Amino acid sequence: MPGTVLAAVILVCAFACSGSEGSRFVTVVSRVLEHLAAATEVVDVLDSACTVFEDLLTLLRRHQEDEVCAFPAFVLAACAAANGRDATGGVWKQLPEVSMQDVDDEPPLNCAAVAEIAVAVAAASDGLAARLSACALSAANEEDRACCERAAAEAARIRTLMGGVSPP
Amino acid sequence: MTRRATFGDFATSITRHLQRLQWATALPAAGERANGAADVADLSDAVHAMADYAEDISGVLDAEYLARDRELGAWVRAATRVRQSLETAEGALPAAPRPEKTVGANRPRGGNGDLRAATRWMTVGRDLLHTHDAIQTGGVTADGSEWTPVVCSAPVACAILRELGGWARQIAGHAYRISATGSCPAAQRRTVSAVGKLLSQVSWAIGEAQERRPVRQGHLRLLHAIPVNAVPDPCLPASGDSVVNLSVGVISTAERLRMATRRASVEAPWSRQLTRETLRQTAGCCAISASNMQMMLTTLATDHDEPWTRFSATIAVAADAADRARAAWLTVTESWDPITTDTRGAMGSAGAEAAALALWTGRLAYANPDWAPDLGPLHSPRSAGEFAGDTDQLRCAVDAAHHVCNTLTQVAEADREKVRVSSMTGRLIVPTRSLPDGYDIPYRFAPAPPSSTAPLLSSYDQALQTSAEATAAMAGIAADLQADSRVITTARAAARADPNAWAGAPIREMPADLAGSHGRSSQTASRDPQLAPPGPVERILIELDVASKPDLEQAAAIDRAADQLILRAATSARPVQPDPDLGRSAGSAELVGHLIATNGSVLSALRPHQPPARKAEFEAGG
Repeated sequence: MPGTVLAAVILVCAFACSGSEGSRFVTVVSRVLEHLAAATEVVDVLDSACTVFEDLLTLLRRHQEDEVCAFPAFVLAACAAANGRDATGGVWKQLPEVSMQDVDDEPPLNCAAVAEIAVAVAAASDGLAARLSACALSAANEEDRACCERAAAEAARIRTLMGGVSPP
Repeated sequence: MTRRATFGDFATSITRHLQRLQWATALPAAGERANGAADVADLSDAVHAMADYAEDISGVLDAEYLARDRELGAWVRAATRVRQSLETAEGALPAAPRPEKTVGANRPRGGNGDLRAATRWMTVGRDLLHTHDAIQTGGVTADGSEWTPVVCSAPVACAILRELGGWARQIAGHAYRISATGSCPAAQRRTVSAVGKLLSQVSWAIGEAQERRPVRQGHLRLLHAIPVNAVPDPCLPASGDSVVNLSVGVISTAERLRMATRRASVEAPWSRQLTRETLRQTAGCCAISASNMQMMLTTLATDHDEPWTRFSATIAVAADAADRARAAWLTVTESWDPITTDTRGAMGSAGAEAAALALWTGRLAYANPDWAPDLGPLHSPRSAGEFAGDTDQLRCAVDAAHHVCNTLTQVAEADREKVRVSSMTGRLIVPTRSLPDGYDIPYRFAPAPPSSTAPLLSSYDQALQTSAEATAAMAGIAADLQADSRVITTARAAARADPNAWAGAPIREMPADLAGSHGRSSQTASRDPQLAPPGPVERILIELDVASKPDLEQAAAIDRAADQLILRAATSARPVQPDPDLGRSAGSAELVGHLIATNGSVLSALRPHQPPARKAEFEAGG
């Protein structure tokens, strides 16, 4: 069942993101979401979820300043993605530093492109929240369950923040 | 949203009651009856209330003089003389049994209701100031509030003293009238007259200090802006709130955020709510608030009506400063990535309040009446016409932006301190594998070394600096527009004992206690509004609602002529009658009171004399 949901999410992402940035994002996230769908052990789910959160965080930070009106939603979503990454075990890892210096040369996206990204992020976080919620129900370990629930809540928050956007 | 009481509310009430007292006729008001004992008891209560203020102020000024400001000498001397005079007056007016205790509650009591009301507001005003006291119990000092350093500052102490001088002058006139009405025995009248003279001395002492080092208009404004120490009620914006309501909400929420941040700062070494999540959300929401303010200011700078053209350049500078603050706060959120706290998951109150501020500022900046961060990017900002339809609206918007920038500065300062303390107490940790090879720690986490915390602290430094720049830019606009938020600048200067606190315009406007009861002071152009209260004739015309400038000028001329005549008479009478009692009747007491008020350097013949210590005489006479 989670696999079906995530496949649908990938399709939505692909449909929403026709621009080059969106396509790049779909390529990366779809691969991770496939892993997430295939993961059966809680540890594997959390590990894949951590990677998805990290990818979401990278994308959100890269584009949070592109459109001033989208700034609040993107910043808060980035905070939620960072919290979700920490909840799923990112706090244990030595994370690659997300440097904005690398993307300074890229021209900022226009409002429509930013909205596309928001839709894609909303769809991805929706699938992520669903997978983590399902994982929380099946987790035998109390600590794992708490991690999954907290991460699912952060993913749901990202979905809420990005979900108000519809493509122009 | 209910506005909190401020000291200014009570000072205004005191002034209003004392004006009525000053202009009251010698006859008791309707429902009251002549009662000398009640009059004296009311006077005694008023003197006690003022003496309490004097004692507080004396302590503050002494400490400030010794610790920081040697130029306070004139005010320190004035405070000492005021305290001594009021103590003498207190001694001369023993706490007589109150008439309420001796007469039935349902019978009309004597005395003056306005003086009682003014005394009550004096007491409440002092209580309000004391709500900011830092309380020490069992060796633990509970912090007061962000206003505590302001309340304990020299400029505010001097402003209180100046208010006290105005009250004393008005009550002195009342005392002269009591002593002249004949409703009490002769000995009591003499004592009351002596108290009136002491109160006049209080007024003169303060006037002298005011001449040497004038209290500034900003100091008085600051004093009046001091609110009662209480947490503003939490509230969320309603759909379609006006700009004025939104500005009030922004200011109130900003204060809640400052309070939450201060509290969290004190609890940093042990609080479970000090988490990376809280600090990251706080930083993110501060970035959003700065962005919202930048958007609002940019709109105001570029899309304005003709009257505000002269502010465009300064508003554009403030918008740039807000944008730099936004970028700096964004860096703070990212600087938290490699470091975490020893407690995780909890969201502290500072994070929640910061989110509320982001929501309020967004409602102010965006045209959508239901704006929220989760509505996405498709929203347009408000037009400048909605902010600046008139001067009041523009002031409200500037007030809000100034408060937000000031709050960002304070949050940056407090959070940087939290990070520093957390680092020192080992509460900031990093994954062991992120440490250089030289570290051999058999755990998953280790206390963050300075090399790890330095970038984080540096990002807070940058946020602090840019937010302070934005605050300074807003302060300039607030000063130009004469917005209420000017008190932010005055408060900071006063609390830090900044010598610049004494810069700025001295009080030039007619003091509130001397202004007409219906705000008609500007009509009485016939006399110097800085110095002179209306004389008896002019006052009667004002009370009769006469607004004719020639009539008022003629009345003022009559009053001046009377003053000159009395002065001439006093000069010539002095050798013959060295100790004239000019307070024998209500009429003469009022004329002399006015003469004294309008001529600071009045002839010594008219000056009140030192009161004899006649408590025993008073009791015998009463």
